[in-house]
Amino acid sequence: MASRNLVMLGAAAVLCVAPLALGSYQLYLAQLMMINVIAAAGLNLLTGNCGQISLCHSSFMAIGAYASALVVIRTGLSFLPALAIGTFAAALLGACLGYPARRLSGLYLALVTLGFLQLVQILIEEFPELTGGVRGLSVPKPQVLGYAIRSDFALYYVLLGAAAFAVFLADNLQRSRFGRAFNAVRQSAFAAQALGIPLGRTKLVAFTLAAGFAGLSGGLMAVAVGFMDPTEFGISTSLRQITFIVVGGLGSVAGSVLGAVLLTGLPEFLRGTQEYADLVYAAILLGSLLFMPRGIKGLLDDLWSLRLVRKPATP
Amino acid sequence: MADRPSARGVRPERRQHLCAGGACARDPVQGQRRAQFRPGRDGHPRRLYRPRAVDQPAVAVPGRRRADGDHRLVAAPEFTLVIATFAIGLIIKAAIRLHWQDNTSPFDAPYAGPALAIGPLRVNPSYLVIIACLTALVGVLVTFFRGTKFGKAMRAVAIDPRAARLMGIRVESIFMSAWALAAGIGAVAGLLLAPLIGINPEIGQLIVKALVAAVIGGFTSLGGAVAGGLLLGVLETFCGAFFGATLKNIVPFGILIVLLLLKPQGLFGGSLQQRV
Repeated sequence: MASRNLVMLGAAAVLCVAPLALGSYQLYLAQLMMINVIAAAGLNLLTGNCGQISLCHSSFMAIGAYASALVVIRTGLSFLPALAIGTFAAALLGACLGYPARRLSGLYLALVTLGFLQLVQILIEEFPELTGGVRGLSVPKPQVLGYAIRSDFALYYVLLGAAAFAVFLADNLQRSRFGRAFNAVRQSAFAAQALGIPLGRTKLVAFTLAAGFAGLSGGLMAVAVGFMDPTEFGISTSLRQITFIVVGGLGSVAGSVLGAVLLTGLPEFLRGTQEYADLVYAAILLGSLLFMPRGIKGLLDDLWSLRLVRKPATP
Repeated sequence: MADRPSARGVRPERRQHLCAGGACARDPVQGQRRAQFRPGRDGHPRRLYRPRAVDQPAVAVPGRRRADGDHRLVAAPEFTLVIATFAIGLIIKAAIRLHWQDNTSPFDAPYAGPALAIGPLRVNPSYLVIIACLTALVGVLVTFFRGTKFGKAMRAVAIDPRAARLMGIRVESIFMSAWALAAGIGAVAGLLLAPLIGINPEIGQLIVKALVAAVIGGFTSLGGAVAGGLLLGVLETFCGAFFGATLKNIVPFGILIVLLLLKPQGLFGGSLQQRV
């Protein structure tokens, strides 16, 4: 217990001091890592814990991003309430998709979510006077509690806070009644029903939560990147998020964090081979699915159980 | 798993042999020898005898944990399959991009030419070739699935992999052939499409609409897929003509979502069953 807290404290200290040592590109990557951690934590609740395939996680990011940016641009609200509205809008639409989709599973669910993804992309493209269409939308610098966030440093700390909040939330959700119900639904829907878990409602909660996480990360991504267009929220982004959680470890918050951080940092190690990026990501996903189905988290667990590495004490 | 005596004291493959009874005249010691798939007079396998209890699944049915060390995709759970196919698609597209970039290059078909006048209609010969290919392909597939042993084995595996295995069908090799068959038909579609819209890495985007067509028709019905494709094309074109391009783009995905939610087995498909 104590050593785990110590590790967390050390990590927090490193994360707080890190931007002082980073260049501007590394700082930008660190910001993207935070954003991806949030999205991956949400997707892992839905896919890793509840076992529902979702190919439209990036659509909910798009909804969160466009909703919060449009609220800021149109109504002049400050950033935090706009972010909350964006998150809420994404969660609401997640519930709207989850309500009918709770009866589907497997391939059919993948198809519905793929259809939803295309629908969202087309709708963004077809209403250019509102969303900027294919030419994209530039997002103003955010204002938090009356202070304009101009520097990347300040934004980094905002994102760090949001990511810490999301990880804390996901970790607690996973150990809550809901989290355990998600796991039961994934392992056997029939057994879960026999235990009195309402199948439909549990899936609906998972969809809503995942969409909310995605909306939050989308709203943050809009301000971190400063510009967005519909192609950014396509199937490849969704697959990238799935890669995060598969490589990190399905059904584990630590896995989401590991996967998102390592794979977002990957371009840094692949410098000069930009054109191979898609190939490398897809190959990593495939290799991980085939040879490491429990992800890096599973690998670490195995190492710990072999006593090659001392495991930090868990509560 | 193979060397451990099972709960019933018989090794799984031995028990499988016992279950399949005399249909496969096998040496009881050499459990490995393949059972024969001998169709009876009506073309169905002679013995459709299912054992009362088989507690070890002979094939890793989707959703079950696969055996350790089995890295083949055919034995993987459904989530892995769905995501892995997307990953493979991405790898292929990225590999194409490495060499040819994102350019659309023209592809001249030998049958391309000026529009033919058939009575009052003027028809692009490419379309006639496509319709002819479709008809021929459907004919071949119907014959294959109805008339040949291999096609029937494929249908048996689709209905119940475990029972098919007990009839002596090699389930994994059937899965593999099914992938090959689907890929081959996809390639034919690509070849027919390329002269119309040109070759680029995203030519496979059309697959989303093909999936919509398959969903409309029902995944289990070949005729349904054809009818679904026609219906989708007609609906899309008419919606475009009457209500504008926005609706034309939205229609397929709207149909996909609504139909999967209301009638996931499709308009012509059989009912989906779920067993505990």
